[in-house]
Amino acid sequence: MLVTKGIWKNFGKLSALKDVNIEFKEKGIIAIIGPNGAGKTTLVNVITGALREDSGKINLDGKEINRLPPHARIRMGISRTFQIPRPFSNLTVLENIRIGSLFSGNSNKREIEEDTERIMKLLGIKSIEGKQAGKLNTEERRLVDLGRALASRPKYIFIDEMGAGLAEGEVISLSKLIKKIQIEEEMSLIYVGHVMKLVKELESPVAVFSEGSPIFQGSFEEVISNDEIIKLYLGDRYAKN
Amino acid sequence: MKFNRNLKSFLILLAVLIVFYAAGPQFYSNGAFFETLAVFMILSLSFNLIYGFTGYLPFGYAAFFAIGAYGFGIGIIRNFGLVQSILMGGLFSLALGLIFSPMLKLRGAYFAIANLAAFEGVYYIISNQSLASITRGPYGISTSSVYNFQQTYWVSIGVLIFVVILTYLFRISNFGLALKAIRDDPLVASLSGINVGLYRSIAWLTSALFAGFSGAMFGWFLSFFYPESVFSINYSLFAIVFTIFGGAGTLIGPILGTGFLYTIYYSVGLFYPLYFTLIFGVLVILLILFLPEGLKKIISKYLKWEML
Amino acid sequence: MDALILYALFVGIIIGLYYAMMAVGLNLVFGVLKIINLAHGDFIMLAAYLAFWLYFLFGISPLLSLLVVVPVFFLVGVLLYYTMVKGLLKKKDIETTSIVAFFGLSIAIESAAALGFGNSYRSLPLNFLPLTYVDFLGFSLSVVLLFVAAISIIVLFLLFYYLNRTKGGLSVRAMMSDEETARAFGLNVNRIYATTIGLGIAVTAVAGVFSPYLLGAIYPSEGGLITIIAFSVIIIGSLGNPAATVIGGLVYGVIINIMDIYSPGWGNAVTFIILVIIILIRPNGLVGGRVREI
Repeated sequence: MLVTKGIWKNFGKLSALKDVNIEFKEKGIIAIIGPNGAGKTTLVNVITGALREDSGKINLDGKEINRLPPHARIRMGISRTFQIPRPFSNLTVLENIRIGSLFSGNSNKREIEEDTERIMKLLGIKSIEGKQAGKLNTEERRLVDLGRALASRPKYIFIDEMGAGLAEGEVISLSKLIKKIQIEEEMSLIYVGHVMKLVKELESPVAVFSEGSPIFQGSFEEVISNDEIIKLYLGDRYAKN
Repeated sequence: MKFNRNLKSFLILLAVLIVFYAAGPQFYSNGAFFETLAVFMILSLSFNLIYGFTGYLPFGYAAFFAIGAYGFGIGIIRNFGLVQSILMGGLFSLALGLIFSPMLKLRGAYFAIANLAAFEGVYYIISNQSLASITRGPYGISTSSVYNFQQTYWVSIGVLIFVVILTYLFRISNFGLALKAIRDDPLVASLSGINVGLYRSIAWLTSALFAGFSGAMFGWFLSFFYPESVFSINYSLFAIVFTIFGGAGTLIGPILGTGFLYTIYYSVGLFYPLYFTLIFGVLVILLILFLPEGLKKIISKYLKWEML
Repeated sequence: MDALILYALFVGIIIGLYYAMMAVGLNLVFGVLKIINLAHGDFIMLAAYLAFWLYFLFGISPLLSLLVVVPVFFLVGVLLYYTMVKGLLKKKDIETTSIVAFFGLSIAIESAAALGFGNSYRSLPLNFLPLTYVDFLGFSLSVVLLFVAAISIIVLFLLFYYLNRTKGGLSVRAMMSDEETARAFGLNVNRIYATTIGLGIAVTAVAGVFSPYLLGAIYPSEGGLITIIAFSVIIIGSLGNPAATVIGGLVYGVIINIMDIYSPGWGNAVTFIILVIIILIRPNGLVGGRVREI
């Protein structure tokens, strides 16, 4: 279980995270949604160690991980993708995925090769394994970024804003891919974003963030019938009451 | 397989180097040329370990070279023995690298300036009159008691072979892959499980150690040197130009760059050194503007061969 | 307070003003173009040589030579922009690329100067002013120092007047704080860049003319050391903020002068070590309000 307790993070006078208490179960999918600036990505940054929280605790299976640098957290099973995909552009697709596996604490050479192969097949990028990541299109870059994150055999993987700017058909296939990944790789998958269509397709529990803290947790149907959340997204006049 | 092809290129390179340095003096009996060529190849390859693999560009790199010569010289005047003195050259430089390592948290302008300032600082300490009892201050150090050209030459070739092997390992290993990843995007590298600080430091210290050995070889060869003869920004210039010209981040690039440019420098420039530093200065500008990847780029474009 | 300390402080401030003028051009160029001019000190050297030859060949006093030096070096800056800097600005990593290119330029200028001017040390006359020394707290103080301090104040005043009170200066500052918006407002980017470099190097050249009185004799390879000193000054102030350079100059002037008086011989070494420490623990300088991503 991955648990945050009372996380605060301020940027100057602005509080990006206000007393965030949230639990992630060991298996399954959860979606974190909320408008831009609600603190979703900041939360991912804090949990993965890219940013240091101002106060609060992060616990993984009862162990405090606040003090650990990012590279140590990966080895404990916390992985992520980026809103704007960031594969290593001078490395090949194969090297990108291998790096994910190589430095995740697994020293078994055969398993590293197997993991790399498996992930590339799972994501359908085996055919471009020799290509330089800097020369890929946006979609391929997304998959390589995801592949790198998956290759570390994460227990918890945060997928940041992956569906933004996709057409409807693409959203459905992406949601299928996410579900398939979660089932085949058996981890806890946290989808972070605000593409409601994708969240709906995931059929997972949803946590709603607003102004730096979670304000609601429930199913997708509960979320979209909640007046507060409709106001948050669409403004007052769309609320039923 | 790619691996085997790399191994083949590596073995050919090693053979070519050994034959060149063994047979070269038979055809052109100017030992000083081959010796200094080897020294600057070691220096460029060491510089390449930090610049080519991590992207840090230390303009004050000559400080490692100089302190290496001084470590060696101080060992000799204190009668510590030849081998011990050579090791001292490397270790002095390694220690300096350790002292400088907090700079690795700096980027761009800050790193460049801190590094240059540190270079000057070390120069003013070493050449200081009040430390003359240790460093001989401004009066220079004589290592003529151990002068033996043949010995210097073969030890230098040995060090060169060693650093060639080391660069090859950097190039093909997972460690090298991690350095490349860090160079691309340190944050993502760190979030992929790579200990960015540790890996950078290892590259930095290895680079410093071997620059120190090249300085020790140079000090041994010179047999007498002033602070100014080794603390010269020209040695930074050499390392930078030779490496970028050949192709940073490769094994063959710095060797090719040094071999080509230093030979021209030595055959013509030695008599007109100012013209050559002038030309090298302009060359740096042209390279960075028009050919930042050096010969590596040309070779991969026209010969369709990815340089090892 | 004993007279020696007072004297040291006073002289420190006097030379600090000069250091501010000497370094401010470098910071102006960095603030606007985000490029690092590692050849900064070499322009000081070149301007000093120009003043020297004007005096030596035609008997033109350093003060009058400014009429030639300033426009010449303004043009040098503009030329430098169109021949080299413009190409640099198209590169991916402008900062690193510019450092390397200017490193090459610096080496080229120094070797060319050595070829052209020889390696002997040159100096300018002290007697271009009617009076040479005055008494200050029992110590003799060079009038030239006071004179150069006055020139520095005037030059700094004119520069900041231009930046803060004129239309041209406004557009330069606009580029400094928000380049994209400035472009969107249709400012002529090339012209502003070229003017900035021209201005930066012209101010630097004024410092160059008077450098023999403060930095010592002129010789071709003096530039490297001067560049590092200039960087010390602007980093102590704040990189990218020309106004803070004045404070940087004063602090540096006082430190170096006190070092010189109380522990000669170690001045340079200690200065560089202090600089490295400042960069490491306080990269935004003593003033450093605007935090810069590094």
